[in-house]
Amino acid sequence: MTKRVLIVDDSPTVLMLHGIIVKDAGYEVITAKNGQEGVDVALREKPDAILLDLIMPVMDGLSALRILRSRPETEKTPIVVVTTRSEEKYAASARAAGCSGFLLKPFNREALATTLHRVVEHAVQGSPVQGSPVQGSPVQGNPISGGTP
Amino acid sequence: MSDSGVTDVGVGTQAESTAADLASELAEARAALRRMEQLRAAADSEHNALTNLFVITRGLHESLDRAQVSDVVRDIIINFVGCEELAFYEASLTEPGAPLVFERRWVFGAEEIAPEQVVSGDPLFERLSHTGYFVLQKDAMPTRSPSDPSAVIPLRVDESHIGAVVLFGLLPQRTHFELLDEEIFAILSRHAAHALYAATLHQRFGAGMTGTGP
Repeated sequence: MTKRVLIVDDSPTVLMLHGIIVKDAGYEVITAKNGQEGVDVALREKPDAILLDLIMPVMDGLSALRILRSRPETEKTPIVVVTTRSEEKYAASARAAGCSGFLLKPFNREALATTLHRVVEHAVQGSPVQGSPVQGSPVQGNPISGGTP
Repeated sequence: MSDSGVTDVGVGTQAESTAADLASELAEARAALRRMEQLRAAADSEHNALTNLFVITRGLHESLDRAQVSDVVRDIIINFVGCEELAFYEASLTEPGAPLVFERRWVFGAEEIAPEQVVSGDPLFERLSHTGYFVLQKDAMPTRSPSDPSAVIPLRVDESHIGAVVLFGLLPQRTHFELLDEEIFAILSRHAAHALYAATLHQRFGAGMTGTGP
């Protein structure tokens, strides 16, 4: 059965780009355009992984992440924070809130697909979501910059 | 003994020859694998670029709402190029012979450094009106300066300049512009210009043109 990935971003252009990459990587794509909608869709659809932007209207990504981690339906769902914010405070907050990975935009297709495969694989194997080694996670002190968008 | 010795030598020589052949084949296979990996990396890179350019082109032409088109331009520069300090300038219609003026229409993250107006004669004007080069600070980490933007994307419809998008600096995770950035700028120069121009016309004359406008 095809695994499903929820992409949460307020930019239709980014949703389109990430949607193409995620679909090409072999996943089914669901989208939401802000944190609140992301929470609602995640709780309803129970996706296999979530890509979550940080800065969004209505509800930001960090608030959405905290809510998702507090709910039994999504407490173990792999959630990768995808953002342009490279400051350590954002990474630390995301880590504290329980993100599974942290990708800095702009990035290339391979970085996104690899990260997604990795967190989904960890989840399938039952590894703990928090602290799972994810390429580009600032937890490892090695953020992905992607170089080429 | 001698027969046996000759046979042993023959077998040994044959084995050495076989081993040499295998080593040679292995080296060739490894070289072929390296070439394949290089080709795959090049194909991935091209695929990445084409995906980006497809999304950009499609995104720019999905709306006739000027504000939405502006949002798409902003999102492209933030998310694809990696710059969060930018401003959009539009050429003002002035009397024939009067100095050409570029007026700031919107700004994102560069409120303090992006001038509100650029008039011909200003050094930045030369860059706004330059048609050949987009990236001004190419090999070094761009600085954040009002008079020395990191890149200028002239917006052109046919041969007319209708405006420019000016970038100040880059996100910390980007150290310099790359070839794909310049391809994005080239696409924006034409497609963003046409999308903004079409949206402006639609805003002004849309109701008369389609019967469905405001």
